[in-house]
Amino acid sequence: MEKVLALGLSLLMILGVTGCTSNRPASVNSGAPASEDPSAAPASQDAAPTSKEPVAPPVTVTVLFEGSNVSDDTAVVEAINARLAELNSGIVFRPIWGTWGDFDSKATTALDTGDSSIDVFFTCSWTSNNYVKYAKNGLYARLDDPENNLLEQYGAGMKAAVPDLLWNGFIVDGGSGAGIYGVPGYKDYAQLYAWDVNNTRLGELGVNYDSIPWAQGGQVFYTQQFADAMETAKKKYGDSFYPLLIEAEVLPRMIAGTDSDPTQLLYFGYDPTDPRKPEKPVVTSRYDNPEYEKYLNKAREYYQAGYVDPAMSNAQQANDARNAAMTAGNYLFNSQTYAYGYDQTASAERGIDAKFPPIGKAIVSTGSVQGAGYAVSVYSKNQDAAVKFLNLWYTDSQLATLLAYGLEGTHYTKNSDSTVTFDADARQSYLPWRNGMGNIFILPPEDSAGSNYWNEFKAYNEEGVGVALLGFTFDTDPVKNQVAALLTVRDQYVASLHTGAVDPATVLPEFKNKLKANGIDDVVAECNRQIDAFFAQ
Amino acid sequence: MDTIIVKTGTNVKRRRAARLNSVSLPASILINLGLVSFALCCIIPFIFVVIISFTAKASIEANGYSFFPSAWSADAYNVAFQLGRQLWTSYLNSFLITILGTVFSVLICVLYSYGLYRTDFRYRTFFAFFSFFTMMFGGGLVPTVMVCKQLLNLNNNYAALIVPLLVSPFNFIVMRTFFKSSVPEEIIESSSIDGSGEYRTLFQIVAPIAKPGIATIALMNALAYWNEWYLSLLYINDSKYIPLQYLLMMMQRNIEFIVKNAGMLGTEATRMTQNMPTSSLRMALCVFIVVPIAFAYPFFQRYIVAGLTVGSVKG
Repeated sequence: MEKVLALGLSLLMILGVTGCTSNRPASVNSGAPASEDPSAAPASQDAAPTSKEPVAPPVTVTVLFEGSNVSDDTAVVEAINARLAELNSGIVFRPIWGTWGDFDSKATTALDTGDSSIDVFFTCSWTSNNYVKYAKNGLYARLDDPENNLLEQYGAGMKAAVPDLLWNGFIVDGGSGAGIYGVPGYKDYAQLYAWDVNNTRLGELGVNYDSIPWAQGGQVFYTQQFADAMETAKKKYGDSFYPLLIEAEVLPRMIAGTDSDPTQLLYFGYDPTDPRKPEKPVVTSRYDNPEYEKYLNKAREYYQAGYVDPAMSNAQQANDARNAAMTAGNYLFNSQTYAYGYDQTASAERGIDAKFPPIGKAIVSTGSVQGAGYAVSVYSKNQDAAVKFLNLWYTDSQLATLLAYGLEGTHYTKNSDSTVTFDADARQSYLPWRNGMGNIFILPPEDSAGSNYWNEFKAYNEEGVGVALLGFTFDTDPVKNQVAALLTVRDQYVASLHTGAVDPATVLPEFKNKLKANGIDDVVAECNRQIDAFFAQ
Repeated sequence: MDTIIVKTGTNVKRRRAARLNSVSLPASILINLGLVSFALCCIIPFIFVVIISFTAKASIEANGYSFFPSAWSADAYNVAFQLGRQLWTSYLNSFLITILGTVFSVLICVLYSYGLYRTDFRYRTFFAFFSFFTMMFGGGLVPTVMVCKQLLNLNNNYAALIVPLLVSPFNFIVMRTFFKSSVPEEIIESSSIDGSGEYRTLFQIVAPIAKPGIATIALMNALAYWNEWYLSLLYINDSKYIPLQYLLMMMQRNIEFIVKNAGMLGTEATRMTQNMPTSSLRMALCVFIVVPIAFAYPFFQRYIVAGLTVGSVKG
């Protein structure tokens, strides 16, 4: 009897389970069309399916952002949706606030698994959901598809708002032919490195700012005046003062040749005084460049003289140490990836007179043009609505401001000269990454930047010089194993090597040997082959 | 006072010598020293973490990490408490996930492995193979995520953090072996003769004997759930579901990412890093994570030790 009962029970369970599994996909499937079905049904009943805007229930557009620091967005999202309703868009907006740490895995798993719940992805040249790569793999929808030109139908406004240079930089030979697979973020697209000089401290030391030959750009690092200023500082402020802040990833690049190669392994050899030259760059390993070795030796010298904080050589502590020194003004020289207007902002934040003498010219490269953007997933069920939303976001200042700055009165207040002042505490709970906020030129400028900020910014952008390789992207797929191995090797060495914490005479050859053993030559050869092909076109 | 100590010392010595299987005093000292140093190796890093979490920011900046910081401060904990809702939500989530997850996964483990253990269960070889096979061959990340997200709808809910870890073939094998070695078949026969049904046999007779094994599995599962952060990365988009471990992981990864990509991100990122938690805050969170789960060990250990001394069949 019991056996029969047990058998019956287990049979019931199995049936139940299979019942579940066969029901589930049905219910999931019916879940998605269910939101469309009612819209389809009334539309067909109305016998006027073309004019569906006012009748159709709103479509949800989900956007995955990068680099956000958002813990409370309820009120802001409500306000955004109110604005979207006011604009008659028929769209409900839902953000997913990816952070620096989790964005890469989130975006790639969602795209690789065909997740249809996210419609729009942040994409660029330096995240894992790399714009060119994912467009080539056919995971981003082509926006200017001749058969269904979404950009023409729904995106005319943003097409006009963003400069053609950026749109051209976004043309890629993707999954459905050469075309545009994403909307470029309109921000600073020229890249410029600069020294970050604490002029207040220089004054205290009695060193004249102009006595240091800043016009020499990166070469200033090797001048006697530069070293002398640090020595004076060390004498005056004592042992615990470190005059030189070394950001391991930035300073060597800034001094030993500017490039914007996302693998950080290659050296393009651009001429710092005229980045348009050479007309056809020949790539070498970044670490074989003689300038690089020269930099390391000098950094070692400064480190041994006690000019560099030992914490800088520890990747875990470097950021904390550098930020603390910067905000307190406890430094003399520092490196910075410059953005227009940073002089005023930095000076105000740190309570010092910070100066930013530039290094060479601002360059426009594929990497800097593709520094930010938004692409519509091919799996999205609402591609039209997604493009419609992007268009509104890129053109409607009120909407863009809500999304980037939050609520007026809560997160910021408006000043009479149309700039805004942030409430520091409220801003902590709602702080998206501003450079990832689409068209940042329609946002009101911050008070420290001044009301004419964007016009000056645009002029600054236009000064950027395009490199010969603008439009070229190194496709690392053929050498991806080597690149992965090389990056591991690289991570192991750069922090200590670049800050001078270890002796380059012994460590650099070891580092180079390891790079060689892990196939740096293959990567260089592959890149040069691709450059040849690029110029052959 | 002195004499007493000497006396107990000699007593111990004498007793030791009289006992079988005993080690000599020097060997015992050596073994104990070895074990003590091993224990120190385990506990010192944690003590170091606690010290760093109480180190003043200025001291870290001046001297780096140190066992004897120049200045102490509880700032990191103040900041951690100011994380406010997110911290407590995450804490609560961690507890919820760990408790529910452990209960269900242990239940499933016991039920499944008991089936495999019973020699009179006809399909046991099939089911043993069925679970064992998944240990050898997995579908990989992408299909797993697809099944979980799209078929099972494990997306942005607590189930997404619990279900994927419920079934562990490795634990099945451990548990079945434990049943085999500690629960004699005679006991099942005798209970069925006494009129006990299958469920009563399992839960009132077999389970109490297998307590040490169950406790071990429960401890392993509790640890796995408590330390899990990858599932949140894959399936959770809403900050109200994220567990503590993921909160810490996210901070850590944010900082690493910014440090690596500083050149690409520009000055905006520099400003964002200024809002990021300092190393002492990260260590404070580490303490928050370690302390509760550290209490799980003595709790489960009770069963493990008690179980070893309790037999079932005499003679």
